[in-house]
Amino acid sequence: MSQTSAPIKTPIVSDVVAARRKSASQGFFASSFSRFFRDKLSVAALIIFAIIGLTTLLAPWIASNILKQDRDTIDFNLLTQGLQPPVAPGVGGHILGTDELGRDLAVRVLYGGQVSLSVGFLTAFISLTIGTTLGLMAGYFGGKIDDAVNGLLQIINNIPSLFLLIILSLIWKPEVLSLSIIIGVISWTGTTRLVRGAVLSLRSRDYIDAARVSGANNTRILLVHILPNVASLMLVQAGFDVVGAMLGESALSFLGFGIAVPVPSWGNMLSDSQLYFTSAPWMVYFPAFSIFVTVLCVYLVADGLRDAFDPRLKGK
Amino acid sequence: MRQFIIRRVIQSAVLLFVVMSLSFLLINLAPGGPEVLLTQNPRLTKEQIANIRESYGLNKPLYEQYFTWMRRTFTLDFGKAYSSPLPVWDVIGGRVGPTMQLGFFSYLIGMLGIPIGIFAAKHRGKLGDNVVRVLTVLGSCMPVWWLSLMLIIILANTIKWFPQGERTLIPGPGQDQAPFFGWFLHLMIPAALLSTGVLIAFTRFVRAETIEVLSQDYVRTANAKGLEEKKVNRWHVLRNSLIPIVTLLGYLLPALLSGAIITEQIFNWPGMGRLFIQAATSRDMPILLAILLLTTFLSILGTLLADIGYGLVDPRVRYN
Repeated sequence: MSQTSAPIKTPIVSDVVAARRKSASQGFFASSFSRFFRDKLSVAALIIFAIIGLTTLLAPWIASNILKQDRDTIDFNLLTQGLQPPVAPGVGGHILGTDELGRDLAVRVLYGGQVSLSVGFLTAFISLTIGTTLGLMAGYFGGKIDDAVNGLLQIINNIPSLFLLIILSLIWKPEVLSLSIIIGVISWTGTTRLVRGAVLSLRSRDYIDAARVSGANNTRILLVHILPNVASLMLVQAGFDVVGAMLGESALSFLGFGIAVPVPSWGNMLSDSQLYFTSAPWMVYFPAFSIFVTVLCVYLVADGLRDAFDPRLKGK
Repeated sequence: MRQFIIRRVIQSAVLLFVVMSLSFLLINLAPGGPEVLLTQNPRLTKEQIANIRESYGLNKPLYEQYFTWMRRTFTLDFGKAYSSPLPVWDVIGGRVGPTMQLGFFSYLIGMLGIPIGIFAAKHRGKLGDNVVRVLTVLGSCMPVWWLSLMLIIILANTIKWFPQGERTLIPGPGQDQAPFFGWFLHLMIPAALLSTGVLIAFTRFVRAETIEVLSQDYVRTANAKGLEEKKVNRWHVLRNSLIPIVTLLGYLLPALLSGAIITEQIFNWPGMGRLFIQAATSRDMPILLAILLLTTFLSILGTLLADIGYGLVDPRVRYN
């Protein structure tokens, strides 16, 4: 037996202990988030999304102080200079050009982002609230409640959603709030399924029995002992809900059944620009690019969170 | 098995009934009632409005309308359309075929996801798999209408396809005497775009499923006993990983029909989706209601067939 292998490096005991102590002291959420922040792609997506969110949030300030343009004001100076709107990017002080009426495109894209993001987050909030409540009840109580929730779920899943959305938007005048409610009310089924599944496996755990034995009622068990355990699921689902809602809103607005002019949304800006495909393609490019980048960022963040919360899923 | 089928058929029938009732209620909730298109003319006198309401049976109490409507719907009699003198079925009838064609070819193209998914699973973590995964992520952030719009713009601005404002390459069915090849080409572009959703769903699903099966004990056993790789793949991996696809076909139908609205609208395809948009713009409620019911019926039927198919190929499903 020859001694060719390098001498084994003995780990320093204090390092190992420190590392162990650190990992033990980190809770589920803390360790998951630190896993999330180690993933470069997710962090990049989060940063870009934060920038997009901030600029759209500051749209009024940016419009009046940096771009010096209004959302709905038609620039008549262009006409006096003999320019026929839509003008190309950079002409007449319009960074991204104007639309067919001579309104500044950059400002409209910013305001359109406000609409898209508000609808996205409001809808996610609504569908998450409905979805989690129903999922918790269906999973925990089972029996008749489970059947009822399941029936409701079947109804919504079997109606092609866009047909229903269009009919609903005829009934309630679509604004940011009403549109969010409409989309939220028909998009909770995914959350319910996930939460219900998780609760089904949680409710037979020993710690739930222990809580019940020590006198906790159903409400307490659901809110204190079960809800925190599905919180990570909800967070991930919220991200995908935002994606779905933003795409739904833009599709509806694109078809002319969503946010109505003069309020700009990325969807209705694209709808308006359809006639100017070849003559003014920038009217299409900027809103289209904004939708794609924003949706992609939210999607990547949600995807990163899912991997971080459940490392086993990595790459699936 | 028979019991399983009977149970699922009854469930679907109940579901259809509930959806029908809810849709009827929904339409009657619309501001101005369902007859807003008929009575919006300000020059109509009260008497004339009353006459119109009577001729469409809108003056009767709601529950009576509901029962008449329900009875007639079962014989595919959806009543008179508001915006045209024809009965609703005559307006819709010709539109079902084109939508079916579009859907069928989208499914067919979407099936490409099966080999792609298997390929990705077998090269897990390598370059090919990563390319597939990046493409599926990008694809799920590009809705059909967005992709169509971009394609049209790029083609219009580079090789001057799609003359300005026109989105019809070649006359489609019913628009002109289109030769077979013309019809085919006219159909294929929207079908390919509509298929992206199905394609992505299939790719993801098959990839995850194949990875799952590849790690099963029986695959390891088959490999260990020295079976050829081709045979392992065919008899042990594929057979098991493709079972759940049967259900996916049915479950994707509602999303596909939703996508069809936009694709048909963008590409001027004379299907139900485009008719639905026209009817929604003019608030022709009977047509909206009929199309909503028809597409929901198709979805429920799709899910039912998928479940029965799943029960046939996988005996474990039948007993629960």
